[in-house]
Amino acid sequence: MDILSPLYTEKTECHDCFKCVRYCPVKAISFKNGHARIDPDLCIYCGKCVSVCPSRAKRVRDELGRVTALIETGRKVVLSLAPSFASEFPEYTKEQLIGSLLSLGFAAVSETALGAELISSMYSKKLEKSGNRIIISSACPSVVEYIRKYRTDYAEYISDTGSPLLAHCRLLKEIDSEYQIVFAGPCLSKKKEADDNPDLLSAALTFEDIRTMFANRGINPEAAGSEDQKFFPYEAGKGSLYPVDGGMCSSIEKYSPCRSTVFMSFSGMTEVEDAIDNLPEPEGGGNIFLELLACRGGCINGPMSCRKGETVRKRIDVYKYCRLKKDRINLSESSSALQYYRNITVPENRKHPECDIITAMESVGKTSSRDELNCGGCGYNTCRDFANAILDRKAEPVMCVSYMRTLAQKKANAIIEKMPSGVVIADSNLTIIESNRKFAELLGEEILLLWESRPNLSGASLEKMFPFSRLFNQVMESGREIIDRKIEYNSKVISITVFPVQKGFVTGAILQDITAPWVNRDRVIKDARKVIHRNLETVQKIAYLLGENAGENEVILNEIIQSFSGADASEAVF
Amino acid sequence: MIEIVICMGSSCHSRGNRENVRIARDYIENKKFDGEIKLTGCLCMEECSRGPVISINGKKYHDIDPLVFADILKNLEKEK
Repeated sequence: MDILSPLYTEKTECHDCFKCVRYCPVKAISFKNGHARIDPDLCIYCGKCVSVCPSRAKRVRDELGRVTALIETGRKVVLSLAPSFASEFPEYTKEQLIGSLLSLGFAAVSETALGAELISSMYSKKLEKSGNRIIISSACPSVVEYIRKYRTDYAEYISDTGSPLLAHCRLLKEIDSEYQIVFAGPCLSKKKEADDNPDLLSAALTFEDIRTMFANRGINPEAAGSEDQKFFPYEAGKGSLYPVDGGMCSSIEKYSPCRSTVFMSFSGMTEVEDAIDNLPEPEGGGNIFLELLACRGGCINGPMSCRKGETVRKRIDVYKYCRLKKDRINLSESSSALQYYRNITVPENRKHPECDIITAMESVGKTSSRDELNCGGCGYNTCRDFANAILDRKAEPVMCVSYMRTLAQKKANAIIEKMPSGVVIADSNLTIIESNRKFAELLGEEILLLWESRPNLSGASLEKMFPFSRLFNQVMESGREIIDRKIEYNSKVISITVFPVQKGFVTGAILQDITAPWVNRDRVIKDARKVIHRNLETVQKIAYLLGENAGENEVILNEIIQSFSGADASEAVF
Repeated sequence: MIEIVICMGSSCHSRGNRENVRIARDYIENKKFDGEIKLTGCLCMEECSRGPVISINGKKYHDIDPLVFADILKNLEKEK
């Protein structure tokens, strides 16, 4: 069911613009009857479509009710607060924030960054050993999902340390297995993590949800703070740098310099794809560690952060918060906290045979490579990708703008050409945009010659060839149509209907020579009357003959009867 | 037997029970345990301001959004 999925489209709000397809890095969006649907098997939950949808039709699963219900059960609910809170709530102190979150009913507030510390310390141990491995960070669930679904060749490079959030959940569960853990942060794919690991993570909220909860409960964090509020069970260290790109690398280096490792960070799906595309074979230059984050600039620009833009300021806020943090903290080694389930579910290989692709291309009028505009209007980069999507039943032919435009034009052209009346369309300068042959015929021999040399008469001045062009001006100004106005021109009576195509800019007219048809109509009526008259004459004649015949027969028959029976002849007749 | 009664009064219906019916049906179709589930609708339970209202085995749940309802149904499964 769509509404139970972390991300879904509100069908009634979706007005076929294909912007979500265009921005979706993995084209996980299919269209049916003009409405988008996110395929959960293909989606990597990066949240790009939520940010770009102009109709706000992309909805993120609301988990406020779930969390409220969880708190109401009376169980100890611990909030795992993402380190990007520093850039999201710069207006509050840490203490104010903890205090107001506790008054929402959470039993404790803990930093997700603690999980990050665990991960950093694990990585540092791995990377300080010299080697020639490529290691891809497992911190961003969207990137992990992307590699597991689409770049399966590289799945083995993903570190098996798991995500900081799940490490944090395990750490908390080790303190008390009864804890129910709720995450709050700027990340959408945490909702997917909650779905995949319900025993560890009960729900995932967004920062916006937190603000809504404050508003609903009338909590003003500025008034809620007291100095003794602290993160549970203790403060994180430089793991709080994780939400900024490169932060993870710095945090690992705080645990150990890892001299034989080259650290690199890439953020934003385009960069991530590019990094993986051109990944070299490890060739003896030491380990390569890749910190890959789906959101540009890191989690501080996550789709669920309320503070948009201001990248530099947000970064400063995070750095400011981290300045006072310890470089590393001593964590009890816990192997159970760092298991990573590599249950890779790969969507089936969706390559279609060339002949099918050609057929799909033909269905949108692309019969040669010249027709392949690759304009991206449908949301796909190339016409070929679009054809593939049609075959996957993810896209519909009507999504091709150029095809629909050509089709519309062809239809209009055919109708205009085959119309038995004259048609002319002109712009606000009374320059002809289009006209048909019939129109030229009505205007006389000279214009017809012109039409033949320049079909449609496009670009010609209507004013010069047609004395009634003021009607066009009237309609252009008023936007109201003139219906069935009779004008005399070239000794013909013409009925003209002028109508606005686009008020103030384009006006059209239909012209009909009513002189000729009237002559015809009169003759038809005369002929019909003649036929009726003749018919009547014939019927009358037949009736007369029939009657005469019947009378004569009666006389003869009566005479025969009389000659045979004499007296009762008259009775025998009836 | 589990008995689910979903209020189909106009208020509850528009507040979310329309989706909740779909969720209940979906759940019954895909349930992973043996045992009967009886799904019925009822007219207004006269608790509109706390709607949508659903009663499960006689226990009334108020203000129950689709996700919470799905969670409750999932827990029923665990109890079985």
